[in-house]
Amino acid sequence: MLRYYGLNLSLQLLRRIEALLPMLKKRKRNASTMFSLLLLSYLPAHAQYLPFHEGEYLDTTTTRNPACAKTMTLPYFAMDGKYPRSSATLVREATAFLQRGSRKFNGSGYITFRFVVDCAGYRQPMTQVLQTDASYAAIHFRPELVQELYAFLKTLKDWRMVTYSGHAVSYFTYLTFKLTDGKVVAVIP
Amino acid sequence: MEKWWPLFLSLLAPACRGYGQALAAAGSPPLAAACGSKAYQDTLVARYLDRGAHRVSYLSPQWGQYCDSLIAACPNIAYAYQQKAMPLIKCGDYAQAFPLVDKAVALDANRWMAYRGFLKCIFTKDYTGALADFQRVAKLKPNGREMDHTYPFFEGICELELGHYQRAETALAQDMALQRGPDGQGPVHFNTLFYAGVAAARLKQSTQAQFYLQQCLKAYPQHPEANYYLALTYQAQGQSALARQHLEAAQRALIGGYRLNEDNIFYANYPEQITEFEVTQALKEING
Repeated sequence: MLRYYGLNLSLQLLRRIEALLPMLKKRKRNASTMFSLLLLSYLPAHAQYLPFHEGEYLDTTTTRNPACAKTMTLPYFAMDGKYPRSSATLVREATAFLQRGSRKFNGSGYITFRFVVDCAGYRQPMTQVLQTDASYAAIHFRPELVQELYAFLKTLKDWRMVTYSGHAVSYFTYLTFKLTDGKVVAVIP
Repeated sequence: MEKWWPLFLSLLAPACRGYGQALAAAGSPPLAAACGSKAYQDTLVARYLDRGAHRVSYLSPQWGQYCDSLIAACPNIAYAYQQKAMPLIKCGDYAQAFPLVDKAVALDANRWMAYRGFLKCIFTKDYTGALADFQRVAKLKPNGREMDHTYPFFEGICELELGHYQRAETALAQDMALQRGPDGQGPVHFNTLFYAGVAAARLKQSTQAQFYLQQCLKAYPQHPEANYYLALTYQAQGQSALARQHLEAAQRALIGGYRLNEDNIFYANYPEQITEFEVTQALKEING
């Protein structure tokens, strides 16, 4: 079991390069082959679930901003840590994001990403994913859909920097995408 | 001296077992029967929740453990399931939370069905599910309330979000009538007026929408959403100066920390709630 999603990506890339090696031996390293290699390195990998004792994670990388090392981590609701956009705006943005990839999705329910935003307002990579159907029973959506929504989550850069008793603090928060027939219809909280 | 403690405890254990057996022999009520007693349930709630869970953070593992202890002692106390579910919902763990809420409803629908409707309406945006709960509980508890609002208030929000604007208007009018009371003089909550204004706006009834939103602002002048949606109605009528005035009021209010003013606003955005971003975007559009 690979623990780090980032490492897994690197191995996937290595495997792709290995698959191309015979071709490289036969041909000279021309520009088009190098271009293919570069292109492959940017192809999105499928979402991989890393099941742990306390749930499934899309990323278990723990990074720590030294500036936030000594700060408390509080829940989002203790300091108005919700993402500063309305649900309608986020639905519109997420829908546009999903439409850029031409894939069609289906399924109804909820996909939730839980993570920490550090004291400097940066979302931390360690991300738990929770999925339920519309009746709140645990299910798995297509990994491609989860990955697309996770990619959208990564585009959100305006997380609030918050303070508690005058000190900058990190906070635990989440973002849930409510889906109906594969379309985002609400973003929570 | 310390060496005597294990011996003491080993003597105590059979003594306790003997006491329990003696109680059973004396005909003490079986557990199931005791759990049926309201007084006994209250004792357990006081022990495990009031003097237990409620003294620790609900994000602490101990919170769940206290709830589990209460459930283990008496599995028929609906409040224990609701209390265990509450922090899970606030953290987005619906798969764990909702079976607990469903259990609470199964044990005491009169008390918890409206709460589940509220959760579906405000937290998980399951408006169809919320409507079903509020309509069912209205039969059990006519004129009941949840989170300081009548059931028709939440039904109005659900209908609004489902795009059934006429039904939303009807439900919110019912909510207003209930708040005004038999003498018709009672004050109407500003958020009822706000949602009635949005419903009217969606029905393209600009005059009615402006009336409700202005009434809302009379009760709560800094209401960011009322200012914002009122501005949109003015903008639709080409009254840019009035629109800008209300958008700036909304912006000032949001920067000043004013919100829609509902207890659960810290945990979940209410339907139609906006942020400073949406106000800024609207101002940009007006200013061309």
